[in-house]
Amino acid sequence: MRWLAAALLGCVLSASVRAASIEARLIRASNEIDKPDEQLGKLEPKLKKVFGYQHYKQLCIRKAPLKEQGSLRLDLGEGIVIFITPKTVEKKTRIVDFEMYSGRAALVKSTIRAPHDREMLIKGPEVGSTVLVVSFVVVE
Amino acid sequence: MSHHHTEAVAGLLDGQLKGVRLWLVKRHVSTCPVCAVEYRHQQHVRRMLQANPPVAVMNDSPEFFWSKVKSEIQERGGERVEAPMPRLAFPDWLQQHQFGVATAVTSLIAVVGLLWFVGSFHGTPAVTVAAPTPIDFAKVEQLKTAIPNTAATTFDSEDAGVTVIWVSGLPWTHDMNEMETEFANLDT
Repeated sequence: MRWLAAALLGCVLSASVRAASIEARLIRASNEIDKPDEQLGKLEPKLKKVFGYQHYKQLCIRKAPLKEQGSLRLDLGEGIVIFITPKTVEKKTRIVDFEMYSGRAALVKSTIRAPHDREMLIKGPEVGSTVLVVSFVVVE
Repeated sequence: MSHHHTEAVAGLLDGQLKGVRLWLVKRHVSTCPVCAVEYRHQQHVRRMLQANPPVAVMNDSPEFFWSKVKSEIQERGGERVEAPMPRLAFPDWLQQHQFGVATAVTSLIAVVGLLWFVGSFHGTPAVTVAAPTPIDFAKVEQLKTAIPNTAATTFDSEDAGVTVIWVSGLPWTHDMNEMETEFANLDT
């Protein structure tokens, strides 16, 4: 009977706590004349406003549940890897450690207080006449 | 003014018409052959009358005539006599009552203006402009780069509604393969 109660309690608690996930993209910004990448959807106008390039192509997208303990590693291709480590949750905001690597080189390390569904854009290395951009968002 | 009006032609010749009515009658007489003939005819009659004024033939002396009129007036006494009132056209009526019309129009404008002012002051719902909802930007609490000669800054893009981390000073590479090789060997 105790086991049953504990199981029920666990089910109720797990149902009340919604699992958060991370959606990250690797995007290449360029001035190539090409049709818009439909995969970017509403993100493209934001990218244009921030970076000013004409064309944005999504090279990779990764979506994974956020680990409550430990780091989440997302390989975005082209040698770009991000690590997201949750620290705390405050209402609708998650505080996470964000690290972005290219190979063994840590391009940037930061602690971010990220509201749910609010995009973050990270301007990465420049390759030829293009720029690599990483976007990530905490999705509940 | 599309019909034949003998009275109007006579009024024109007598100098009784003014304003719009004078202009209308003049225009009509200049274009209507019937009225033009009537005008010339009446004008000719008037000239003839002016040239040959009628001589009143009266057998009675003026004193005797006046005494007859005086007695007639005394006989009728308080008898009320209805004098026919001429029918005025609208332009003539306007001209006759121009001050009254001007006063009425001015009063109407003043009343309408007053009502509009009172209505706009009391009746119109107050327009409230809601302050723009502040965007709940992500906040970058710590930010650092490990590669020498690089820097990272953060800013909120109000237009795009996103928070941006801008890493500058990273090594430029010609293509993706070169970038992977370059950064793979870059130890931080």
